Amino acid sequence: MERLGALEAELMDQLWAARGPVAVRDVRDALQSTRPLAYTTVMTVMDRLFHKGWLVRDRVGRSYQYRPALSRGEYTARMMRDVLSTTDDRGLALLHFVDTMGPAEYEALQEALRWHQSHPPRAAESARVEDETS
Amino acid sequence: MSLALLVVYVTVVGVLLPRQLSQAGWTSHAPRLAAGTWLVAAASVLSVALLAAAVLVTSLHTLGDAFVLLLQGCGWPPQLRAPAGSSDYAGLVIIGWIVSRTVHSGYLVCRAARRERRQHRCDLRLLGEPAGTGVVVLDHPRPSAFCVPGDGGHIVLTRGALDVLSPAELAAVLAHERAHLSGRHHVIVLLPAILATAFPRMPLFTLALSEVRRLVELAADDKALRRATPATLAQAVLRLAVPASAQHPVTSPLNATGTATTERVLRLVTPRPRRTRLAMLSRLLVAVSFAATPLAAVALPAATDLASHCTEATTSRHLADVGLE
Repeated sequence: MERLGALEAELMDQLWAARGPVAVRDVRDALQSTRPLAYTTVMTVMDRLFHKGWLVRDRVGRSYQYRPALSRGEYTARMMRDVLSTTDDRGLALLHFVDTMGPAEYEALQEALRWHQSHPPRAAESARVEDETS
Repeated sequence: MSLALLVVYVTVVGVLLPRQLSQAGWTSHAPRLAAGTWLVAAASVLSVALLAAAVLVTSLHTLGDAFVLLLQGCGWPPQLRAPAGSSDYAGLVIIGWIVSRTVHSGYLVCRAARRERRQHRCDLRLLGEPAGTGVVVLDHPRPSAFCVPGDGGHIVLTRGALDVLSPAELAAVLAHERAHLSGRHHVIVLLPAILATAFPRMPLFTLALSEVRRLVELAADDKALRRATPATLAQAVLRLAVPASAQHPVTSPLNATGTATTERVLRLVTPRPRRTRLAMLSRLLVAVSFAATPLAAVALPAATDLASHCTEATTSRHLADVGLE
């Protein structure tokens, strides 16, 4: 399972790097130097990627020509949308560093931080208290 | 009498206390103790509610006897009998309801989180670029950082985040996320999440979920402060909390997450009030008493004749055995 995931990633890299639809044989040949794989293995993984919706394919003659359903950037944008839209009930899967905030609050905090940075003695004192209590 | 006391306990700790605790100022300065208090209070209310239902079936003293006998390894107590009256059945139905709801929502919540995480891990493997141990970079302009627990745990940074963070701020962000992973904060949040899903009307459980979420962030901040100065961490928080778009109208400047972030930043840059040992000790005692209450409720009535328990029970059983033969 784990290995196949890594293999899927490798094949997707190849397909994103390719400048057009490719056949299974092309992908196998491109990987030949770094990772020699059986034709059927490559075919199986690409079939899997097709069924998972990562690839689309067109029949050309007796074989298929594959291309990515979305570009890498589009997939990344989709993932980030998923990640950022994580609401309270869905948010158990991952932990965000911080949620985004409204512009007004952001401005107010930026202001507060600037004020505190221009008063180094207090900041230093707070750091010391921090050390003592932790 | 004992039933009334147990119900009062569930009402006070489950409904009245949560508001007090969520408004208490000290929780921000001792996030781990506060999170522990919430979890212990939730577990306490759940077990006392179960106990109250059990009291409908049999007396507290008998329950205590059974508990002590089981604890002493004397075997199953002979006093327990098959359910007879309507209150017996009511108690059993309530126990069944509480247990099945908890187990069911535990299953649902854990399964959803695991599925979502697996999806994210799959996406990360395909889209992310490994950068150091457990760190993955996503090629996306929006500054953001998060961690996906499970399978060793991954910290994800976007290209946008790397662009806006200075090296020191980046170290602070990584330390914060590592604190989440090493502290198993996703598991800590899962417990109140299960109870809040199972019993959404219970103020203690729903407030425990939102409070524990807030408190694990503060705990991770505290741990990150070993690697970064408060000002650096506060600046990093602000850099990654930048509004998605300046043109967007402000929906509500005082929404819940917003005020939580404000509090988090101000907590970093303002000196903390000195906490006295006495105050912390008394809060620890409160937490311990939550844990002790259900145990005491069961054990105390029976504790009076603790010493004679095993002998009495075993001799009476021996007599019964002899009588049968």
